[in-house]
Amino acid sequence: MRQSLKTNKMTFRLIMAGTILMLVAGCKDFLNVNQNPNASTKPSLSGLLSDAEYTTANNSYDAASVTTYYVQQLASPSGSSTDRQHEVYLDGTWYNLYSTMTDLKDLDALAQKKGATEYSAIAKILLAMNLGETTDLWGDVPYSKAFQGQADLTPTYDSQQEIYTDIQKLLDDAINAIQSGGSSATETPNSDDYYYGGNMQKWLKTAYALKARYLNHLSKKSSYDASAVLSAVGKAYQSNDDDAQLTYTSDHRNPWATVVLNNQGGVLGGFISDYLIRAMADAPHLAQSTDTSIYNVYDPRLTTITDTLAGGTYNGTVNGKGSPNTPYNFLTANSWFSMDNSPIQLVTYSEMKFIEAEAAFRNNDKPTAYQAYLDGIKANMDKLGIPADQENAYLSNPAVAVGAGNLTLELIFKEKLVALFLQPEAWTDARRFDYQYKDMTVPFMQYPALNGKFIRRILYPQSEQSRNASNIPDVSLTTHMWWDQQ
Amino acid sequence: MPVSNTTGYTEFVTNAGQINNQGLELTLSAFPVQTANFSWQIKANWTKNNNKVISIQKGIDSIELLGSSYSYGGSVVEKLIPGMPYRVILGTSYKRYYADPSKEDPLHIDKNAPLLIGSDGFPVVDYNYKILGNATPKWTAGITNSLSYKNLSLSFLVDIKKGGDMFNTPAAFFAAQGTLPITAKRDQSMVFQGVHADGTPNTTKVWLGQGVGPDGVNYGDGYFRNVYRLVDSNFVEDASWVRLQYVTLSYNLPKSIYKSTPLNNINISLTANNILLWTPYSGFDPESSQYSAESNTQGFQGRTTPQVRSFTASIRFGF
Repeated sequence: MRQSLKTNKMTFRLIMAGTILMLVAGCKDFLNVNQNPNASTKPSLSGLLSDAEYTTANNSYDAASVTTYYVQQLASPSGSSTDRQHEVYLDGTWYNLYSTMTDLKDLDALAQKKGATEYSAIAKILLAMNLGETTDLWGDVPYSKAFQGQADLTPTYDSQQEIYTDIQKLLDDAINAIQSGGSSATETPNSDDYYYGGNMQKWLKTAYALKARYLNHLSKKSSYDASAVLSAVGKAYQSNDDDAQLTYTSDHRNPWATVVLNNQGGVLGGFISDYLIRAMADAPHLAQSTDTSIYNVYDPRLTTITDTLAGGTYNGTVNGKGSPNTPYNFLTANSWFSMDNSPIQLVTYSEMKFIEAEAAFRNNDKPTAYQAYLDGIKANMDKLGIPADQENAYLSNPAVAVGAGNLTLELIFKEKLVALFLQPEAWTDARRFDYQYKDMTVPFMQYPALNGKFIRRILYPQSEQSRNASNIPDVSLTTHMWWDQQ
Repeated sequence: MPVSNTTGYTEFVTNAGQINNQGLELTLSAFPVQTANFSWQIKANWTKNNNKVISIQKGIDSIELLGSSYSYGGSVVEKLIPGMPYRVILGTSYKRYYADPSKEDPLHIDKNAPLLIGSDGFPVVDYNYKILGNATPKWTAGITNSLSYKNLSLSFLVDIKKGGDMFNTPAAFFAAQGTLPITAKRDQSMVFQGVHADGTPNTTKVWLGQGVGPDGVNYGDGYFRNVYRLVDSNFVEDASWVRLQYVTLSYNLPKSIYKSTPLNNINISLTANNILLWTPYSGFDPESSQYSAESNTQGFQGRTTPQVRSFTASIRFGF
């Protein structure tokens, strides 16, 4: 008995030791909890591309939800501080733009590693687009030192001039990549490319379109080269079919459609500015007898923006004043721009036509400028589905068809403002043109610190002010950015 | 800690800094009276904690905690700043006049400096965030009194918090809507005490209402909407309180009543919760919070319903 007890104890100990050893060996993997099997650290090219195209369009909406007030396309129903050009901090927009750009840099690097030149080229074009949007809102921004994570927690800011050089380089590199063709990868973009379904010729035109846009931004600079602008325009879009846009769906609705829904639910928004209404309506179409038409022409595109009020009239909200009592116009579920599956337009053929008109005008070539101006209006009307007879009525009206000799920059910019409804690019135009639209004044109760001057930029976000304070340039709302000065 | 979004990341998991806590906690338990039939026990505790942020990650000026995005002046925030106590509240304030601009402290409001008055006769909003208050209380205390006489017992708890500021978010809204009591002044005219940018004292009489005033000047949306509600310092209040948290009266029924039943005891009690509250805070509950405990952010009036006052009666049977 004694003997077997000892054996039992020994056996027991051996079994215990063996079990413990097995547990320890197995534990290492079991306790390795830092790898989340659901969070991929190796994204696919498709995933990165689709997501970046989606967020790029949303970023455009983000910026537009502020810039549309500054260019007086929309107005706040409550005289909000944004509408009155107070200090706003677009922390969310800054975050979204840099988040998209981080993803695009990753997409580009990953695509290059895999030899997937199409994905790499698209990534560069989208990066140029988002970078351009960022610098046109804030001026000097981090870029060359950004995206390094732990290696540089407080990136310094690049000058806007450097950023513009970087933008052109990104676009040139993309153009070269597309033109040299021959991707060695098995992955090529197709249905994951929401804008063009993998059509690289359209991406090529987009790269030239963006080159034209950013070259044209230098209109105040002595280095402005109208011929270079026109050359880029020539290689860009040829028709509305080439437009770069994201078309939403009913389960991922257009953000402006959400504005319409909220407005119906009592969180007001999407109100049309009195300035735009008076610029597009003639006297019979204005609801208020005290309102004056600016151009005395009826623009049929009004029907694509909003529903009519009683008697087929329109009534806009004066920027900064808010909209008490009487009925006002706002975006609806019938507007071309704010249905569930409306597109967000990023770069368009009509924008190209107006860039051509402006560059040709600055080059003293009025006939080319005039033809491009008329073509731009028609292209925009075609896109919005305006019937041919109404198009012709508008285009032959003497206030519009002034003749090449009488064409002015003011007319070109005015038509571009209408064609770029809800696009953030319109604010860059307004600043380049010094807001000299006929009869445009600063908003009612404009922020007194601006001293009656129009707003010129967005202030740096509060996240930068607390996390990167030593690098932030010292600017105010009226400080002109680099391209906004001689 | 949060990092600049331009790095491609939002947060850096690291030792974000150093905080120093020094505190004192006192507990007192006493039986002032104890006789055969009657006893009275007091239990009290008192806590004081001084905390200070010593340093934070190199290269970062301050760490932002959460804030209240409902303020009109821009978001009021709580921050961790080296040299300051944990959880200071920052926001907009009234601009003040300094003959020598370099004397202006970038973080602290100098109440002795005169208000800067604009050419329109109204004070000016200072958008450079300054420290408006501190969400951490100076001290907290609780006192429980328990008295019992034969089968009857009474106990009540008084909860005290002294210090600890809170940003009264609804008040900012009410100011803009004209329902805050101070906005009743909108039918008055006054001269704001202060100094213009050139150092000359302000003598402009202004009307505090909206639209065209008795002097024929159009005041637009008026002082309370255009200036007052944009100044966060107007809404940071002392959220100290003294609360009678509960009063309980309970009675053990004498054994004679239930000696023939299988019961061991029967107890009847009445409790009143949250009976009385004394606080200088003008909002509806100095103890509510906009954010959960894990956010580390304390000082913002939440929109949760305030604590209810309740009365409970219960009978307990012991088997």
